[in-house]
Amino acid sequence: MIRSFTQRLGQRNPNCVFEQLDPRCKLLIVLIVTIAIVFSNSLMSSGLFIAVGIVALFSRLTKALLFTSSFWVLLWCIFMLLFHIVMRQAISAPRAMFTAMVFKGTALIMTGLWFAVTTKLRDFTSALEAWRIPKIIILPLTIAVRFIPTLFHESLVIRDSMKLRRIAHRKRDLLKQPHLIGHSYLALITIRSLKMADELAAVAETRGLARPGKSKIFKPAQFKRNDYLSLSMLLVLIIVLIIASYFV
Amino acid sequence: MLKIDDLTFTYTGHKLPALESINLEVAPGKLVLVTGPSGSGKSTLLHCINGLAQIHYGGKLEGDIHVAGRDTSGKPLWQISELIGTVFQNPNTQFFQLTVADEITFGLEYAGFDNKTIKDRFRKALADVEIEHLRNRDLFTLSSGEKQKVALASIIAMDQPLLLMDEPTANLDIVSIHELIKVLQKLKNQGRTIIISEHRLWYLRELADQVVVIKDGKLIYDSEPDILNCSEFRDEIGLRIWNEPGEVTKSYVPQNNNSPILDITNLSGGVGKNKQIIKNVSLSLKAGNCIALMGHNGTGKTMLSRILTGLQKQHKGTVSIEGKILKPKHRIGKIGCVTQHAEQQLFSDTVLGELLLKPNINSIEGDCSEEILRQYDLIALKDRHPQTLSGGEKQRLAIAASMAMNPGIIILDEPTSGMDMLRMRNLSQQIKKLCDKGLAVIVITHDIELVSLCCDQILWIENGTIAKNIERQQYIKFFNELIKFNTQEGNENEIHGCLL
Repeated sequence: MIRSFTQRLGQRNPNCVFEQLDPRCKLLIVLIVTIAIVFSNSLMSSGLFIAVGIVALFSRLTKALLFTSSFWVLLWCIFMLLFHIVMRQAISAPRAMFTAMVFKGTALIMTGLWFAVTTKLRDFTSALEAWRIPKIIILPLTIAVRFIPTLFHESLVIRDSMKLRRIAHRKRDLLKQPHLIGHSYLALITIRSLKMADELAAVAETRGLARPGKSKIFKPAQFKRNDYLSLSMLLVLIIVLIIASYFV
Repeated sequence: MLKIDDLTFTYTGHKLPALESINLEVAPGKLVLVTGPSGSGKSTLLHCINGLAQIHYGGKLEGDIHVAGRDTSGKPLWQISELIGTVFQNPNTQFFQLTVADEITFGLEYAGFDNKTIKDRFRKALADVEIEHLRNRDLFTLSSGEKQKVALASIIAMDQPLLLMDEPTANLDIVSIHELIKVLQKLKNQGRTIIISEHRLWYLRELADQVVVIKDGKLIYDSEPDILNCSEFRDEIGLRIWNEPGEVTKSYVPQNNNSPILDITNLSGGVGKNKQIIKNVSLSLKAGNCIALMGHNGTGKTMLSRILTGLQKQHKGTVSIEGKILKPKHRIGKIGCVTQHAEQQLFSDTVLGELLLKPNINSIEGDCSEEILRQYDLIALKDRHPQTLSGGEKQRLAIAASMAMNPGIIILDEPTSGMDMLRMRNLSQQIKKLCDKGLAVIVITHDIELVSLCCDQILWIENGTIAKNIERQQYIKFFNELIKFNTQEGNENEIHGCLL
């Protein structure tokens, strides 16, 4: 999953309409969807789940959608089973629980993934600069976001190295040897991250990124017709879902 | 362009200086090669010039450094960065953006240039490094050579008078090195002053105007590059080849090597949609053999290693170890593998613990582990944290940890990246010892020096298959073709024709 996600990150499609949206518009969409999901009832969660699913299909995130949904369904099954064993009775509203966990959970995660996959880092930072957020916040944020694919890559390399040494290399070792995973994997990824962060900091300094004064944005962020259209469509959808909730 | 007067630098917490009484002058437009054994102070010299040594790493700097007539001492790094651009060894930790265009314009935007200047410099940098076709690509999908070119482009776009490069070819294959030669020639023709710190020397023989040799923190040679023609001088310092391939040592195949240990039949495999990265590879390897897998980046060497070790499933074909056909999951741990970055393979908090890092360890295995550490000259370090060891020690420990699993075959993937000749000779001795013990060793490398020291055969991989089998008596001819071919004049077919 991690490998396919990093590969997906590396295959951006500049012609995709979602990649051309202003990052501030996408941030607003993420915010509105998140608030709507938190306060939604069953019908609204189902509607948002379908809407997010359609967007995911157009953003080439089908595999991620299937994986996330399956994960939440599995979690729901485990939860129901545990409830049944511990309480010795069936849960009173399994459908409501299903909606809350699977629809809301998937919609939330997919919205975040959609933002991450369709937003170029430079567009994101230029959007933040357009909001007049100071450089002292933007630069560390840039480095932190840029660090994510490197961390993914490192974690894959370390996982392979552990396999080669037969250290917690089977899936069942997650349960049988959790101490080895914690000891080997987490310790090494921490050390590697620190080392890479130091190298990045050195490079940043030699490239003069600590230079005082205002930087110039080559392609400043700009709200366009598609941004207003997307936001309007989202708001219309939410209003329709709210009205429908009163009648269903 | 650069003038260093009586430079002495001591890292914080160290008693002895890393550099002592260095005096150096570099004229504008010259390309200077800084070389010397590992740990001699080459990188420290570059860090003193670009200001990192004192400000980022910490230490006491005595003496004066003038760049383009301006004294850099006491200046903040962003001011020094207007005079000096630095390209680092590891391309993966040089980027702040995720796409090529963003990366190149990022530095220009932060410098506050206007849109026209950004556009002009961006286009010129792409053209100078010949990466126009990569402008919209994501950085993390590029090859090492392409990443190094993007790093170079993002630095030369800033147009600083002095360019520093720290082992730029450490992660490059031969084709990428030849492409780098072209770029360096172009930059030199534009009148740029370039200082390159390197172990791999042969590619600079037509470019370098001045050679600086550093040993034990002291400058021992600073003049014309002619001195590097003298093999005695190179051997004494521990420098790698310069103008001709090194001597090919005698074959080291032990006499009792009749038992085949690894048999690969019609092996094909890949990842994702590309299931044919490796195509119909057949190979037999006997105990005590040491073979080199060579070829350009992306031709399938590492994929072959992943399939052999069981990390990747094959699509077709079989792999048998000691006469037994094994599925990928059963091959895991049967073939040892030490990669270029040994520190990524060290998990424990002590050197001894590294060999004991498996469940249900018993006292006999504990005793064996100490014996293995003794064989690899690591017993004195058994209580040290593995991540505090030197590069060579980490590599020896990674090999020792693989040996503790008692494999019959071991794969060394780019083991000599950033290594001087002396360490390479030591590594070749270790490989010979492994062969003596009856192990089969597969070395994946671009370094012809290591191959000539210890490999009995070269398998040249091209398009996922073994395109050529080169025996020891053909090595010199092959190496001559490999390091002298010229991509400038010919097309791709000519390159391949020359190589194969």
